[in-house]
Amino acid sequence: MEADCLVRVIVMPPFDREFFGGTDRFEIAAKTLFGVVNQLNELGPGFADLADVRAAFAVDGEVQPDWSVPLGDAKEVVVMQKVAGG
Amino acid sequence: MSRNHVTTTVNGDEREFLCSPGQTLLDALRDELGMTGSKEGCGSGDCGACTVVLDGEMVCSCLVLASEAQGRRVETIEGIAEGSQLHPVQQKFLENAALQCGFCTPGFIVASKALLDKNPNPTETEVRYWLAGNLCRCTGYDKIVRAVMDAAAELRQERTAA
Amino acid sequence: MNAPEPKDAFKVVGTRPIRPDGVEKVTGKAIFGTDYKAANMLHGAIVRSPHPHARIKSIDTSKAEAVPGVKAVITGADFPSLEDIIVRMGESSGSTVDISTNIMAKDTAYYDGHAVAAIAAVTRQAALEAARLVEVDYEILPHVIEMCDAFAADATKIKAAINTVGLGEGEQGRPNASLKFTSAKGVAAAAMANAVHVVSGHYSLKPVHQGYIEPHAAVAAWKADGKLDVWCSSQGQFDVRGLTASVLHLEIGNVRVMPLEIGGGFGGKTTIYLEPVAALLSKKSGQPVRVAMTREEVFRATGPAPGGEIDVKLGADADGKLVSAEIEFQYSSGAFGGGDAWAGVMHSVNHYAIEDYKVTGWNVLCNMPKHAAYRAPGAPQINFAVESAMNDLADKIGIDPIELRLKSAVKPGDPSMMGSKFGEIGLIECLEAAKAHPHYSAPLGKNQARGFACGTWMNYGGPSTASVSLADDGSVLVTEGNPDIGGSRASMALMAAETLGVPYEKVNVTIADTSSIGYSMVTGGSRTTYATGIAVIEAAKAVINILRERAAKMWETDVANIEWIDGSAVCTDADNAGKSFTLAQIAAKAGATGGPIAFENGVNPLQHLPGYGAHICDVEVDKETGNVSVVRYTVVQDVGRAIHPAYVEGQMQGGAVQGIGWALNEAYIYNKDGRLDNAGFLDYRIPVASDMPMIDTVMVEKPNPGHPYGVKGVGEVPIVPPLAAVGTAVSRAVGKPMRSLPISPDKVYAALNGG
Ligand code: FES
Ligand code: FES
Repeated sequence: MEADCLVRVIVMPPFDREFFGGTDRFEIAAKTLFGVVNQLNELGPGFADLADVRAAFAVDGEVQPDWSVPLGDAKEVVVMQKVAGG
Repeated sequence: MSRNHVTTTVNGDEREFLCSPGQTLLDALRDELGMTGSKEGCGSGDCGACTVVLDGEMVCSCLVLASEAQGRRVETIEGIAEGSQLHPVQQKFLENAALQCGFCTPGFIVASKALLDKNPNPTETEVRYWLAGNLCRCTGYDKIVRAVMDAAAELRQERTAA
Repeated sequence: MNAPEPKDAFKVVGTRPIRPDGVEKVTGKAIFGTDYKAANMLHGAIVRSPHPHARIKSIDTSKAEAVPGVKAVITGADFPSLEDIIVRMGESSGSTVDISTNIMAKDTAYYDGHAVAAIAAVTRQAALEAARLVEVDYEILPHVIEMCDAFAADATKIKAAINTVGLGEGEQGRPNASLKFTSAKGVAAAAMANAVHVVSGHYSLKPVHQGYIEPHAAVAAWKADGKLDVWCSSQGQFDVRGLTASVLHLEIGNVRVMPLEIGGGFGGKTTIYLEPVAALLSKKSGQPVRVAMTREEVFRATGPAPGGEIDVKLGADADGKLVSAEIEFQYSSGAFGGGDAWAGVMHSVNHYAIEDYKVTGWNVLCNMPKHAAYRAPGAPQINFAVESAMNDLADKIGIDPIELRLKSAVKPGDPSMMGSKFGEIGLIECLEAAKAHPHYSAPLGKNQARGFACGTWMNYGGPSTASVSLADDGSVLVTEGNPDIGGSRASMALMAAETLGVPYEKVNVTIADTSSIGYSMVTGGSRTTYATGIAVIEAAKAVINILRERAAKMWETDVANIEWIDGSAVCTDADNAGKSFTLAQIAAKAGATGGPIAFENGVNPLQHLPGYGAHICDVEVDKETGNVSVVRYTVVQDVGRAIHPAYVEGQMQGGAVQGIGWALNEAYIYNKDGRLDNAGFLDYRIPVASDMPMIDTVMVEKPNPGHPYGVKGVGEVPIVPPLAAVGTAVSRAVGKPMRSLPISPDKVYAALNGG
């Protein structure tokens, strides 16, 4: 297994207020997005349950649907709400 | 509840059914005769999805009482194709992608054929006004109008060839 | 993912064959939601509240039950109690409590048309008669419908449990607001103060309905073993299954949903209304039950899309480049939480690169049906305000409206409001194509004027499953789980044919029920051709690999020596070099080489890209009557790659005309008693053929690198720009800003006559 990657995590509204008391920036060390989600869940209990349904993740600006892809030397993870559609 | 016995001709075949006095021709076609090609979009004469031809006149079958069909001729979407041979209006709807969901399509095809039976060479404006009683929410009408104009041209050619 | 293949390499992608389901649909044989009948089926009827807001004190069903032929009567009390869990609903999330309560009132009726009881009887007439005999004792409560009443700081609160979420430190909520949501960057107010040109305005829109022509209908059969079968039309049988299972507290696997042909949805059929009602009536009566809505019920109890009140302020530098946007708006959400404010915020200025902005949206409850998704949900309303203001800005600076937009338009690599970076987006290409289109510079006639607007929708990807299998004569069978609302069977067949290298006609497409294939998210969000397309293409590629392995066995060689070229396995090893087997030849030998050839594949792609549209609209105003005619209309859109161009054009044309209807005609009209006054197509007037000109289309093709053939979603974008394009054209024709939709003849007449 590769080493943890230290990423800057930016939580977009509405999740920042919904789960993290308005804080929207974190430094998190993780190997994959699963690790990021688990640690966010420690900081904002309940986040992990809803993340699967409501959240999308951009790694260095690119949306990454597969949470198991190694973060490698990524710098930034943005947590966004999924889009609804008609 | 007393039921009326109705004998009528549907797409050339003599058919009989029982209907209650308030039942519409659309309901009789769909529920008593199992012909679900005519659709109910509104039940109030506003959408044209139920369009049929009654003794040569285009009508909304949701506004006609089933009993009124007694002794008359009804033509529905099920009778437009001859066997597996599509009518040019049907063929042009397919070629022009003039249907998206296809729910309005039976009404449009019956209405378009009725137009072309009366007026073989309609202008775009004539097509648009003739079809103004048929609602389509999917297509924006562009491809429907083109399909009808194409079908008209093809039918005119068939006639000259014949 | 690989880069999309070049367009000239395609054999069938980009052609316009006849759709596989076409003949059934032009001959009246296709079975839609309203057409299905089960053996020994009962007919349902629903009792609906005539009051916009009332406590249900008691319901007496004894007279109804005594009507001959009545087999079951249910009320809210028959529904399972609900824990508030979030369920998957399309791509967003919904509360099961809200969905269940909207389907059948429990202790309170929240809008005119809210279901309070339901009957099943041997005939529809008996069910309707019984429905009239259900006695409901209501205590009438005060109602709020208009936004000005609902959003007031001292408004009557229509639900005790509602609190405004998303408030910052020290911010105040409102009695009926369920969400306040802000997206901000930089310091908008300071940047606005430094702007050289500033425009502002207040814009209003009424709620509108999706207006699909097929009313909702469902047949349910509750079986003796406790399992449930449902037949209905919807935008997604899997989400109908999931929601129905949640509302009824059933295991998902015990609910099987058979998809029927769908007569239009536009977002409105991504949720459920009738399925649990039919199911409970079936459980009680022991027979299959069909429940269908009339058109009046469709208007009173389904949809609508939110109305909105929107304040916009835009600031630009001397050159016209946008430097600040300050926007605040309220959207109605009906009598339930949730709503489109989030999407409204995210689609407000996401098509412009602006350093400083602050956009705030509120979801506001009122006594109307629970809002439902409508094509690009939340985007057309905010786009109407922003793009109208952009046209004001162009006038103020004295610059061409497209030139103005080119100064701020987003391009690949720019940051999006979502927080990610834009990929290969095509807004600039659309603006250039619109500017170059002859329509944009064509002379105008008397009483005519032109409007322009551009807009965007995020699009989506998400989970889809598809399988590809071969029959031993080489027929290709594609099975997928997305209802075909506008030709998607054809695009799936084209993509499968292209990948396998076989003719389009060889491919058959089936849309399977929920027990016959894995999950696919709804047909909505402009995701099907993109996401389900990827599932089909990848399944086809897996089948090619199986075919190569089988061919290798037949030549007794290694699979590495087999290439797949134009529908055939070609051998490259020395002994058999240049020999080939067609797909059909290999399929014929499937039994001798390892068994049936098939592959099922689930995917969850999210490399969809946003779509952009640029619309040009000419109107002519009748100065005597105030009537407005759209005389010319052009839609330019970045479509990625058009798989079946005719159905892509169809989306562009249909979306534009829905937007035109929204701009000129459509609105929910409630009377002072809170009852819907225009619950029919006569009074809720959607565009008809004689209202419309031909809708010209220009497909800009900038392929999406995240799809093998370059697909971008196309269904939703086209409803976004028309509101401002039409509104601006009318404003110019009458010489006054028209900022309240619909722009009905009376408003135009008043504007022309000094009103
Ligand atoms: S159903 Fe007859 S006109 Fe609509
Ligand atoms: S094709 Fe859907 S209503 Fe006309």
